[in-house]
Amino acid sequence: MVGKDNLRAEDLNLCFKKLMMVAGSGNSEKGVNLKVGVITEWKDIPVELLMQILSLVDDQTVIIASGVCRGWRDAIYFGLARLSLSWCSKNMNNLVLSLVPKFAKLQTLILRQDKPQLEDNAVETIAKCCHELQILDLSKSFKLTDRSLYELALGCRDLTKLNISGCSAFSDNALAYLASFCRKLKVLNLCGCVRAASDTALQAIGQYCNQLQSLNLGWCDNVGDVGVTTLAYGCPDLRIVDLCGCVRITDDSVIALATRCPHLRSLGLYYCKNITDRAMYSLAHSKVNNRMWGTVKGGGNDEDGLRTLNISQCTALTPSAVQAVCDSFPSLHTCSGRHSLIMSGCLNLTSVHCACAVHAHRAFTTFPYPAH
Amino acid sequence: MSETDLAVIKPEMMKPYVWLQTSDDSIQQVEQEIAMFSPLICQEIIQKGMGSSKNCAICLPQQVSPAMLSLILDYCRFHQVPGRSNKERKSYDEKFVRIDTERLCELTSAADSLQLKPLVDLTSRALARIIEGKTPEEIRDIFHLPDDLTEEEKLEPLRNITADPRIRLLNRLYAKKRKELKERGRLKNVEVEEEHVDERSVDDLLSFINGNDGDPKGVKTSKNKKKNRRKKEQQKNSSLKEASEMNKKEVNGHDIRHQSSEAERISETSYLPYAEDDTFSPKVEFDDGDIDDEIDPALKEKIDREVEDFARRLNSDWPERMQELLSSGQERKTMLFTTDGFLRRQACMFSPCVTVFFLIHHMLSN
Repeated sequence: MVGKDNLRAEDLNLCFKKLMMVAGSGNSEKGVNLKVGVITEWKDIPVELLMQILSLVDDQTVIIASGVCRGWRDAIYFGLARLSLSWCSKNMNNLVLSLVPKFAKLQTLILRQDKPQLEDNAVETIAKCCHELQILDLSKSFKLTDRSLYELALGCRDLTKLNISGCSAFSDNALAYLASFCRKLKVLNLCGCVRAASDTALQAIGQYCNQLQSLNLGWCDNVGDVGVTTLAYGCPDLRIVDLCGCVRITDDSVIALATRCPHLRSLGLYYCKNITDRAMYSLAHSKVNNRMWGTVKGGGNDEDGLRTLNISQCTALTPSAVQAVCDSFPSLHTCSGRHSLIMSGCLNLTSVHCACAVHAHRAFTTFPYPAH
Repeated sequence: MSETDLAVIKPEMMKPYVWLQTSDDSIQQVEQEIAMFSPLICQEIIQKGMGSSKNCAICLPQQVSPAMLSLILDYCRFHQVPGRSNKERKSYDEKFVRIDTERLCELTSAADSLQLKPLVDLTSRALARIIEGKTPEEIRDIFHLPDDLTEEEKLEPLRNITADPRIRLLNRLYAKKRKELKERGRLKNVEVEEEHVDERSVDDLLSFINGNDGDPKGVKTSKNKKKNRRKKEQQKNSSLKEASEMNKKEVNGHDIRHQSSEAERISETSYLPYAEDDTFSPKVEFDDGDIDDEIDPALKEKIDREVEDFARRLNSDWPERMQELLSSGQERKTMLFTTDGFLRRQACMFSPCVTVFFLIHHMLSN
């Protein structure tokens, strides 16, 4: 090195430093320990520990932390599993375009918006970069078109939870296409997706998404009995179904859900004016069938069955039919503080009460009301 | 520790003390009941029968220094006592993590290596509270982290993508100018480097390596030259800096650093997604104004013509915008165009292209 012609001062300094280190003079600056194997610098903490600390701060801070140093940046880019950008009130689209490609291991991405910001190119980026994505929330993304769903179908096949509530521009064909690829879906929120949630789309979901456990079809007034029935037959593991405002459905839909979905825990029928006593007796009867099947299997738990039922504005129902359901499912309560049987707007159902409202230990009748 | 694990412990193994060896090879005697709070130590005792004597002491991970072990044992001793209320435990935990950040980091690392989940959770929460709401610079200072990211990398996560074609055109013009200036500077540097030859002897170099104070003469002179050159440049740029300061005060109306609330301060920083693009920072404008002095007149004239042409198109695009600007009664806008206003006062200092740029910036910011 000394023999070089154009030797710079920096090179000499470097050489000098190396000689000093070899001689054994330690560098105590900023907690650096040169003892072999000992890690005392905070930049050398395990990635898991750093990620645990960052899991306790807000998402804004996580993004800021990715600009601290290389070690932290790499740890965050390759270790971050959950990211929410819902705090971003404007420019969310640009933020997704520049951030998402860097987070290779994202499993949860929350992009809720108060005013629509996301566009198809952002969802396209998500689909191309986040192949391990399992939970995606795109609610209120009014600007998104079918192109987004097609991209998601091809890029994010491991999706288990998808919230596209309020995405009114999606069509039923695009949703059917998504269902045919994302077959691991367990939770799907289609509330307000009037165009997307049709019988055609529900038939595709029933055919392909057999693991579905929760479905929100609130205010999807194109949904009819054909779609819901197919869904009930195709997705026996359904636990939560919200059909609020689905004005076209009749008793057939409820009967299909009652007979085909033994794990049903929550059913929303708000404003479903066509629902009659027949549907209620079917629900009550399903409890007995399920209990009998449970004893054969060795299960049979009183806590199984409906825990929430919303029949507000279902004015065609009579007290005896609703009381039958209430008696069949001990978890349904009309008493204050535990409202799980919601009947607002049904003035003729004021006489319906849960077991604990009448007396604490009411005898449980096995099969008091025959189904029609 | 589960009951099945306890059942495995032989009576002769249930000694009141165990021996632990820390990272500096010192050996400590610790109550077994306390030590077994750590699943790692527990495993060593049960499965390997270690720690029963000084000769077969349990080697603790390297992150566990004697000081950290002492802290951890204090924590375990307090939480081992059965009769304490949750309020007492909470109060103790709060006081326990009120230590300087460096020790808190060490403690987190040590607790993690000993698999003490409750303590890791506690210290992690404390560290999270420290990190929250801080800028990258502050985090680097707190944790003594290296500043090894380039400026581009620091701004990269939250760069805004500008879609406006007018802005892109302007950016392109200035990028072109900067590129030409760099090229010119590089050529100058090459000429200077060719002239400079290191005259130092091998003896001089060796004496430098050996740490003698006497710097070779060549180095000194070059340093002095650099100093003089820097001084000249500083004098030359001082007027521009003043203008930049005035622009900051008068156009922006306030300084970011004087924001009262933390939230506002954060929203102003470039680390957030909705922060304005750097394209229009006054610094860039005045740098480009400075560039004009060193570009040859023909090129300067060409660029000025381009910018004037662009300005004309811009005005034809936005006649209403301009009208609104001129007729507006707001104090800040009026000041900009009055005879004694900022722009007229400073316009003589800049080339036409900077003046146009400044106008555009003002229009867009409104």
